[in-house]
Amino acid sequence: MKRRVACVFLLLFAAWPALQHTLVRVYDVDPWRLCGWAMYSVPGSMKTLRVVALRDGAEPQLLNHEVYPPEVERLVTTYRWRKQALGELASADRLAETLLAMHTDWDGVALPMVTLALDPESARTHVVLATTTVWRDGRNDTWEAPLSLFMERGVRPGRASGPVAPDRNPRTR
Amino acid sequence: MLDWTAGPPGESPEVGLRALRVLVLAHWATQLWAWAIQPLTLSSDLPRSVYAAAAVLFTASCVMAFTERGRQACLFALPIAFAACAHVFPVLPNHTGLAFLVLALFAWLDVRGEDGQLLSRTLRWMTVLVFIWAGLQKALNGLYFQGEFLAWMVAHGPALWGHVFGWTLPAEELARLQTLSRFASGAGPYRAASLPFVLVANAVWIGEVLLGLGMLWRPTRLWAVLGALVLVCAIQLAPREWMFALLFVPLLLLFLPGVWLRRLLPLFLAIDAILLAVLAGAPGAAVFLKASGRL
Repeated sequence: MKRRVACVFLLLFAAWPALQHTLVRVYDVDPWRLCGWAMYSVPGSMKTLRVVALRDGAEPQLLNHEVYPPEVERLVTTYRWRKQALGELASADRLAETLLAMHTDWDGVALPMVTLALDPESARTHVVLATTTVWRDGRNDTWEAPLSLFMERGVRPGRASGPVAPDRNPRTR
Repeated sequence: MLDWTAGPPGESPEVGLRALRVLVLAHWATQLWAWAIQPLTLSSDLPRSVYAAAAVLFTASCVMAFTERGRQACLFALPIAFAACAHVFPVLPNHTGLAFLVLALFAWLDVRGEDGQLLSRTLRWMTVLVFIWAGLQKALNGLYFQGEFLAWMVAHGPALWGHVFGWTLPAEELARLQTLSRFASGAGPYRAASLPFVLVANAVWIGEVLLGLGMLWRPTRLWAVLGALVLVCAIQLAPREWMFALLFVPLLLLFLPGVWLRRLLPLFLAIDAILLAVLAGAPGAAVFLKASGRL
């Protein structure tokens, strides 16, 4: 019996990295995470998050990420690490619900995240911008964040240099 | 297939397993002490005292593992390890996940008799699979065939990467890579027209796959294990993944006669203590800590 259990365990152990790789490809999970043994197969995570307040009929308002209130900072940090590690598997609901409860004048909240990755074909860096949008009334519209949101302290598409500080990982691998 | 990792006829893995059990508990204690000394920056992070209390319990378990109550020590420590993994998820370090599974196996199976044989074979299979998958993942992610990942690390990684691998590149290529902007879209290409550079990059992933496979065949096992030990130790030159090495080297040594693990046990425990001392402020950060200042 113990031998059978050990065999099943080893089968799962052997198959897991294949599943983890699928999660990386399909859901943008960080290859370094979830024990898929893909550490040092790609550069470390280079992702930057912004928080944008949405009001119907008004310009979206970028929250100053340098001075989030402590309670927001804690939630944003949690979401950021989860989003970096789990990609599309990370839920924004808790952060969005808290922000909307704190700001009754907001109609929605957008959480754009920009990823700088190394493209295997061109061997050059490229930018991917994906935005998660949560509306108070539950509508499914996605607000398309402009890349300029990240220009101040983020990636600079098409330029050879620029002051940047992507969100850092909470710990080393 | 489980028996593919069996040792020579008449081999008793008990001595090696006893030493490995101590080392796994020591690995966990070191990790928890490290988090107590240098707290994580997780938003939901716990007070240092919680990590310190868990570290004390693991240290006690480690001491207990020197006695005949080693399995009970693992059973006692397992829920704490699970709670630590759950707390750190999803940024759980891979070596910590591996250490949890190894600890769980030690809690489940005794190191003596048939249990010991099954435990030894299972742990050896895990070692082989981690090695093979580490190589395959590098190939699957496609950044090793022309040295792209290595070029990136030489350009933007800690200076040690440039020192260790810089010799494989012509000076002008090294200079070009190191002037590329890390955060500019379209920067690159992160490739270098240098045969030694491309060979080194590909040798890493091919070596991991072949050495892992070599451990499964008894005639090549010794050389594969020695090659893997050299590779794991060589990897420490640049990334300084001491915690990974402190778990993985003993797992590789499990393929050799158990007396090796028993003899080297004091050395591994000493390195654990040195890592913690350095993390607490003792000299040696350049050798024992990553560029981030963490273990």
